[in-house]
Amino acid sequence: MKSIRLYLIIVLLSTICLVNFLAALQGYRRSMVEASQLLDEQLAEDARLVSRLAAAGGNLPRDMYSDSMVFQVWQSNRLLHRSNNAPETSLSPMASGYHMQSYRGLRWRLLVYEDDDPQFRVIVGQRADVYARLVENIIVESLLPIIWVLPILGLVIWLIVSFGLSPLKRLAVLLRQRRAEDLTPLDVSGYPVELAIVVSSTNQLLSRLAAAFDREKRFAADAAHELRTPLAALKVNLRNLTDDIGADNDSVRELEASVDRMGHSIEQILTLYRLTPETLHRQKTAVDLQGLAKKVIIELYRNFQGRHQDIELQSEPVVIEADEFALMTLMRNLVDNAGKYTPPGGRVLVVVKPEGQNALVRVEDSGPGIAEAHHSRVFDRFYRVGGDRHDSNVIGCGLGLSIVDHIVRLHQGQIDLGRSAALGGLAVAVRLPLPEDPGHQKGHGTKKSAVSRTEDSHPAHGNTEAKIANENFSSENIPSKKGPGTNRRGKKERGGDRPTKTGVGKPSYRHDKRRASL
Amino acid sequence: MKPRSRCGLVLLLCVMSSGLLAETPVVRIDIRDHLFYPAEVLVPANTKVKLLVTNLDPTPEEFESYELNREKVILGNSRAIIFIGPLAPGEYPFFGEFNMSTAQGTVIAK
Amino acid sequence: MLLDAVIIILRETLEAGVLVSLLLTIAHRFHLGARWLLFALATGLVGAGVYAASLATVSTWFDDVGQEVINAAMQYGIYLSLLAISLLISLVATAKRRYLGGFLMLTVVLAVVREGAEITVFFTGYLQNEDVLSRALTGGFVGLMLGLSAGALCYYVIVSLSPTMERRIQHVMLALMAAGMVGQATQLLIQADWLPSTMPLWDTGGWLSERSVAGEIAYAIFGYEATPTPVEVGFYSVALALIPLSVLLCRHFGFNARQEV
Repeated sequence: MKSIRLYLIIVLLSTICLVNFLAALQGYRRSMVEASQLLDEQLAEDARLVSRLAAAGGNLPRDMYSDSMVFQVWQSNRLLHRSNNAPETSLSPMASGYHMQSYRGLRWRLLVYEDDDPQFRVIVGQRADVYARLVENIIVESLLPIIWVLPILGLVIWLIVSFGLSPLKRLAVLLRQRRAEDLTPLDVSGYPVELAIVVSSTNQLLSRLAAAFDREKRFAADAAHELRTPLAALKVNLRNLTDDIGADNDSVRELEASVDRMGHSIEQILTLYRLTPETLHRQKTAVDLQGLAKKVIIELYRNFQGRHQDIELQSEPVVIEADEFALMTLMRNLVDNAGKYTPPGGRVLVVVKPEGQNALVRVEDSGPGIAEAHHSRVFDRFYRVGGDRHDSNVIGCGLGLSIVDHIVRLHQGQIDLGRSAALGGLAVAVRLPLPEDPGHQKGHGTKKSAVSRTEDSHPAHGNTEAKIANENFSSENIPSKKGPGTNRRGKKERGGDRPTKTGVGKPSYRHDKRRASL
Repeated sequence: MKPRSRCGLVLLLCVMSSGLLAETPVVRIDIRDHLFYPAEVLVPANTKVKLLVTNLDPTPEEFESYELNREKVILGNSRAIIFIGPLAPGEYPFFGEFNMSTAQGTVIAK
Repeated sequence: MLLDAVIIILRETLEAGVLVSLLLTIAHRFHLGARWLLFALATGLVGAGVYAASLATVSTWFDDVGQEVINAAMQYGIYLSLLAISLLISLVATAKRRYLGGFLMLTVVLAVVREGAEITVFFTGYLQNEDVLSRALTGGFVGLMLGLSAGALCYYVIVSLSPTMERRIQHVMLALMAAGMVGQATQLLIQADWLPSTMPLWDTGGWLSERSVAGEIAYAIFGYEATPTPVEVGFYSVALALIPLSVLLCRHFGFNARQEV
């Protein structure tokens, strides 16, 4: 059954048709029987009358009856009387009783009647088709209204069914318009009994789901939070241990790396569970992605420097409505990942710009990339490509991309993985919707989209390129950042102290979006 | 496998029945003004009979009988052959399906 | 005139309606949509017109029994097509499924040509007489609606059954309707004197009259005949048994037989 509405309309109309028309046919048959009984009685009356008149010896008027009636009076084999329209020969076999006969191109109902005087035989007949016609007229008259009313009936049934299904439609609309994260119970009132069951069952499901979500969130957050304290203690103890036995011990270095990895994981888990739809909605502000990207790159610059990697930012001003903390996390994860999974001496390119209705953040690297087979899985929590394929120096727990994915979803954005056309490694493209109201950016946004259109139509035009900020970062313009992590990496950073190769000479940015994007 | 053997069976039976064709009695029925003439058709019982029905009306008629299990469209001003029987003695009503109220008749097998 | 039209149209559309609704449930089960039906109906109606127009010529074939022979041939064709459908839906691997649509269409086209021609002949006889024609059309409409309604209800009853039950009903009805076609066709060949005519084996007319509504429905579904001759009974039985037998044989001897779920 494809549609309840169609089903109800067809089945109801069919049933009405069947019942009505079968009733009409039955009526027709009954009327026919009644009519022929009437006709037979009429014939019997006529026969008696004719026979009395004949017995009285009088001359029977030959045209006293209408043309739809005939009679003959026989005595032995002699025709005594007949109506004008009757033949000289016998109308029917002489056996008394009712007969059907064809005569003068018509169908006649005949009665052969024998009076008490056995020699006297009267045959009277009436046209059968006249009666049939009469009955048929009555039936046609009663059928026509049923036929004419069928379209109206169809319309009425359509309306009734639509009205009957309206609570279902209302419920469907309510469920469809519901935000994915909204797990509050539905309003039960106003639904018919049949649907109230569905609504209350849905509410039970929703509350169980909400409780489960809540439990999951609380558990992970609590667990991560509870782990922070012992971890801090662990770090202090480790520091003390290093002081005691010296940092050259291999086991201590491994222990150090493990503790760092654990700390990283805990921070990531906390981040993931801090970002919920509810908190996000409250914290939305105008976020300048270009500024954000710069900030993140500066923050992570020392890491890149340590690995002798080039990082380049190609950006245009883009402002979106978002949670600044979340986007910061997103950007940091993407850039950090790119750096981590690119071999030393590699290159990383960050592109930030408006693209149609979206803001595009694309991070490309010259690393090995991710095989397409893994693309769908890398967003899974705690999934790492190839397990321990990466060298153990890389701190990671498989949550980075899953957090990015989570943030992108929260902002109704889209994330795509692909191969970087410029650098040959992985390219991660995040598209976040620009605010719908152009007034929000005070013409800024519309101007930008105009730029983006110009790029489309004139791919090689140098004029637009001037608008694209192309920044290569070097140690000179990066303020040295002191934090808890940097000291620990001091040894590695020493090697990176020599000036980094300044960025890519020619902008690697391609205007052909189809090629450059994924 | 079935259609071929069925065809064979048909052919065989055709040969058999054509032998009997010579002695099949022929009965004529006319259709005029949506009436059968004669309306009562006498046929010999327990014998196959060939009905030669001539439709003298310009309109088509369908010779039909539930009791005889026969059904055949006879176009206006044309002639049709219908084989009936062998029939047990008795009355077998037939009618013109296109004009049921008038075109009625009976085959009487004696 | 009115009742004649009702009965004629009803008898033809009831049988076609039940058959088409059965085929539609099969199409529904295999997600074939309904476009094939529109195409088949259109083709069938054109075919019915052509057949009706050339009926005078056809009638003179084979010593004036051309009508019976051609009609019987069409009905045997429907039988074979239904046999193919029962085989296709019951066991053949999905690769052969593409033939299913073709056989569904073939069945409908043949059925519409067969039944539609008679209706066309009936109405064309009254084209000159407007009064009679309007009554005939009224009656025809009533008959058509009855047949369509019965078909629609039949369709929804079958579709609303459980999948197992639906499959069983489809198989049983396919077999019965197919055998009914053979029964009617055999009857026509007897009428044409191509098959021997003998005394009927039995007479169930007193129990279920062919004239009654129930009798008409039984005729539409499994070709009920109150007074069948031995030849008819034989052909009917063979045709009926052949369908489950060939399904079983095919299943036994492979064709990568896999029971449809």
